[in-house]
Amino acid sequence: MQPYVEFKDVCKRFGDVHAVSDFSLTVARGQFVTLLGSSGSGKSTSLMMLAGFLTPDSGHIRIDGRNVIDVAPNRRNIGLVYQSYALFPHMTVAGNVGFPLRMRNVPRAEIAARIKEALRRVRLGDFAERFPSQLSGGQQQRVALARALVFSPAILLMDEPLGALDKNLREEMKIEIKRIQRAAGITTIYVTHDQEEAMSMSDVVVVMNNGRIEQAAPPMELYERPANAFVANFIGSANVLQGSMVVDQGRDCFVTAGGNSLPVMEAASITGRKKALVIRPERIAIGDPSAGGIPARIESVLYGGVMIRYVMRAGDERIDVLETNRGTPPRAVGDSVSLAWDTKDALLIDL
Amino acid sequence: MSRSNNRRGTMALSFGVWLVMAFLLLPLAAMVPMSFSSSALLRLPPPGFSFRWYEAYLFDQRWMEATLNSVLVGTATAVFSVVLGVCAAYGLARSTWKWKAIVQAFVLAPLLVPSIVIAVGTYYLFSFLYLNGTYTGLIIGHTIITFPYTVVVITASLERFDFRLEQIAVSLGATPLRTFFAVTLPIIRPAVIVALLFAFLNSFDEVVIATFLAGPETTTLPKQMWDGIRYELSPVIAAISSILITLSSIIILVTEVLNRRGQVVADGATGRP
Repeated sequence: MQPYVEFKDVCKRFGDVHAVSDFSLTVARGQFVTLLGSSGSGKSTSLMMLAGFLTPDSGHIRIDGRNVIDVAPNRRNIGLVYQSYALFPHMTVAGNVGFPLRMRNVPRAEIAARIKEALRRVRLGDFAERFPSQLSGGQQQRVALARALVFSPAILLMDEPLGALDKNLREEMKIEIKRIQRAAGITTIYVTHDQEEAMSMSDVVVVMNNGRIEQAAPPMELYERPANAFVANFIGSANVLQGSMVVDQGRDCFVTAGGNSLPVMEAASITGRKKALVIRPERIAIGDPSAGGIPARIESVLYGGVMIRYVMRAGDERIDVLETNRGTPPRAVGDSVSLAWDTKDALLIDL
Repeated sequence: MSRSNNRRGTMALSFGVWLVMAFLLLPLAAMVPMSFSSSALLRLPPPGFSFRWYEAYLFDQRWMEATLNSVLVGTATAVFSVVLGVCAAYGLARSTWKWKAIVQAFVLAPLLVPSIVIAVGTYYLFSFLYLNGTYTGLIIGHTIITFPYTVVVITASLERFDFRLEQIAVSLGATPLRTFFAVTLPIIRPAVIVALLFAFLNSFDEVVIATFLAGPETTTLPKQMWDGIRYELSPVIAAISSILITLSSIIILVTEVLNRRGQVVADGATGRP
């Protein structure tokens, strides 16, 4: 399948800072791809290069097979939504939404019809004559979305569109954006630092760190099979135990730096190499000391309502365990327990 | 510190403020009754009431020509200095050039240089260019003075302007030029109008440069008044002054209203609650 958007070996420096390095990414038509990373990871820089406001120092950016490096931003046919809404304060909602159509010299009657259709799509049909300052944050962002979609752009770019909204509104807008995006079937590239936002909305999440891609994968793969310790820690929480593979009594075992011997599923071919074992806190079962798992001691208990987090000490290693709250009183600090998990949940990664 | 002490302090302060305001406004206020005087002398209080000095002003060809010249020069000066001011302020606001501060200092220099120095310099230069005594020369001379004001006023409004709005406009398909006229200019419009009025007012009551650059044909109202005071001190001056005071007050009132409106628009622009 031909990629719709393609970054190939894109680099961008600001002075001595490598904002984006060797950035290569392909996005299929209609896909929802999120660039996820903390501030300074290069996610917004990548987006601005695609929008045409920054020029890469090297590499190619193609849209639908066409190199767009030399195409002016107003000719790229890209819808843009910012965290700050950036509505034109001197125009009404209809004026804002009609703006891209006026710039394209669309006939007046058609503009009116398309404004109406776009506002209906974001459920703001009755707000056409209001000014942005008369709308709430969530409504303003929906106007921004309508304005970015009304001219049927090739791509929709969103830079932290929910960042300025409060928590409840954010949840609602997530569903709204996803619904509108799916209905329009538009290729979308979304930038956020919120991993939950990224995971719940995207077809593919691209984890970025220091201007590089750490891993690009569908949300489930990212969570279940993180490529490295950075991704494992960035997406959800994880116990990352360092150690190496050994063969113990004819069985493949992972011996941690702290001296625990842990069962894994991987083949013995990687025996002896330095590795790390990733195990998600919620996949660990806590049993009585006699149960025959890894012996551990409870160091602290964090009662969180839905979940209870235990910080365990097994030898020299710290292991976090998340347990669903089922109404029984939590275990006490200092208790001796044993930890066990399904070997399929223990993932070996390179360090 | 007791409460009554505090209150006495407040009263002393407000008394001081009123004193300063009276000091500033009394000379102006004195002109108004004198302009309605029936006497040919500048006397306070006026012996009787009449409109004769307003008539003398309105039906005198010299005064009317000078007024027309002032309006003409003021309007042209306002337009030129605002066009230049918008360009300069916009360029400076968008620029990331490291010597930008030097350009800024150059632009604002006429504010600090005494206008007599500018007048003498311009006079010498214009005598080579045969611009002395012409409208063109006078308009250029006044634009030199008013241009930095317009830059200051428009720079202030561009500082509140969110340049991401331009980015959005471009991404929505607007050319940079269309972006400027459809987005940037309407948003900074209150400042542009304020700058226009300021430049007009500045040119309208400017006397030093006009003294050097204006010829018999291009005499402006303030210069005519200056000459009038020197040769024949009559209440016509008071009448004209009263008209000018009223005009200035209206303009300042309008700019104040526009400034406030500009604030509202700019605050709405960021979209932050």
